[in-house]
Amino acid sequence: MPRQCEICHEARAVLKRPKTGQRICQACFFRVFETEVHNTITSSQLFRPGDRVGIGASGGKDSTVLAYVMKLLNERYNYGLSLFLLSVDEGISGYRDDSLETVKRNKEQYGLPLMIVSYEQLYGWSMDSIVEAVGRKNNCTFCGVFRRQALDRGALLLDLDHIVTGHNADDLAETILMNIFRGDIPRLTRCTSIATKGDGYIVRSKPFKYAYEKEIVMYAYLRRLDYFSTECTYSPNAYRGYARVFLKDLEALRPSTILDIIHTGERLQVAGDVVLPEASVCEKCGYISSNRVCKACVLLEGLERGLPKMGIGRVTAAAASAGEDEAERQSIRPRKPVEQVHFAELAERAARMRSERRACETSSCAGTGCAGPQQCAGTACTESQCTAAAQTTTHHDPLGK
Amino acid sequence: MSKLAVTLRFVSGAELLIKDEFRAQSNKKSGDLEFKHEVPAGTEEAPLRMKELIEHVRDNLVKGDKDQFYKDGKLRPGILVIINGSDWEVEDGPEYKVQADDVIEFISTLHGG
Repeated sequence: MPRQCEICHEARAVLKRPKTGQRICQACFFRVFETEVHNTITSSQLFRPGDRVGIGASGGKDSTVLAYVMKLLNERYNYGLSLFLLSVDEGISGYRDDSLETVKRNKEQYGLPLMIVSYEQLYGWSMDSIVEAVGRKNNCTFCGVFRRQALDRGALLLDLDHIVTGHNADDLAETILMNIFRGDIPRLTRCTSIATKGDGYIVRSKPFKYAYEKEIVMYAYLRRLDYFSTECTYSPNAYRGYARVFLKDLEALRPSTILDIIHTGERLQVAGDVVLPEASVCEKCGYISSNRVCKACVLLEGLERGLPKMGIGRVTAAAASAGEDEAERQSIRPRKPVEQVHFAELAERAARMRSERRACETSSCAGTGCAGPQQCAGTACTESQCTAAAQTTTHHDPLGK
Repeated sequence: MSKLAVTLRFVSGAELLIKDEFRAQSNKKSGDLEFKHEVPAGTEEAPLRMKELIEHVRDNLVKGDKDQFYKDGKLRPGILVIINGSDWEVEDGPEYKVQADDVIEFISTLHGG
């Protein structure tokens, strides 16, 4: 005997909501899921009309659902946002190359412009070549540090106001637990905010902060969204893996566990005598850093000098070089050394793009047939007289687009 | 003992847990696995429930580390089960009595985005 939806009392229930325990039908599920994300967005005032918003897109379930829902809500509620897909190519063959194919399909399916920034272009090293140099033990450190910066660099190249990521409630609860277990008080206080400007340049937010993973998966399933699901070929994040399984076991006993942990995390207050590190910028690349040189630059220097343990844990350059053979060091130099663009310069270019786009908006490229940047969103327009198009073209060329 | 034929689907990472020989039976081109499978139907007093079907899958279809699929007497939390298009938690979950021609899907959520 099929059960009825507990909201509309008409259709057959297809899902039991972990949040409320309600059994609901497909149409009611779509409506409540989308409305809750909309409520998260509006109650936190995440966006302003006209904002250029990049959706961090990996091709996985969370970011695919996020891209779909962001597009839908932007149209349904007239947010007035220009949406972009922004992907990072870490250079992991057999994993990221396949997932990026999914993002490319999403680009067509959702009609959103896509920019891909790769580790190889930005740093001269793909993850495959890093693993070749450092082995499989610490490579996740490199990947995590590089990814954060890569998204910011991509956002500046597109002159975005905001990046949204697909982090969901389960992810956040895991992160809170991990920060507690590691005693990482600064991250514990930061991680629960829906939006952070921690990197100094672009606001990042998590519209799925209160969305359960189960509902995201069910949403993708019921909407038949095209997403990619394979574990990274280089050792999964072991620590998070344990936190994840632990949390899933708890959730099975008590579904509210996830929101309860988030609630706890949000309400925690750090005692006044805990000193939080002061933020400044890296003297090499201009990225935000609590040290003189940021983690990414330390890791890159280690790679380039053939001392890949530099910057891992508390290993110094001296300790890392002790006992290393010079010949071995030579052998792992990158094939294509890359001059990193300083963040101040990226920000300057973004500001220039912005003022040119404004000029284009007011004069609207009269007589050229370009309908203005609203149409091309600054990435697709090829009209040579459109100033917005002219300067985005030059920006896209270095990225091989 | 009589048999019940059902359609099994393993998607979103769950397919990685299944023995390669079932991959050959799959009629899906993508990574998803979908194939017809016969399971012992149980008896009139003790008909086949999802609980037994999952144990059958663990014993006969899952390769390598069975803990990835089934642990501490139940399906691993984080693997969603869909029966004929509905979340199994809407119905009776592990107690659901399996019918001939049911379409049973396993969706893993235990991997990153």
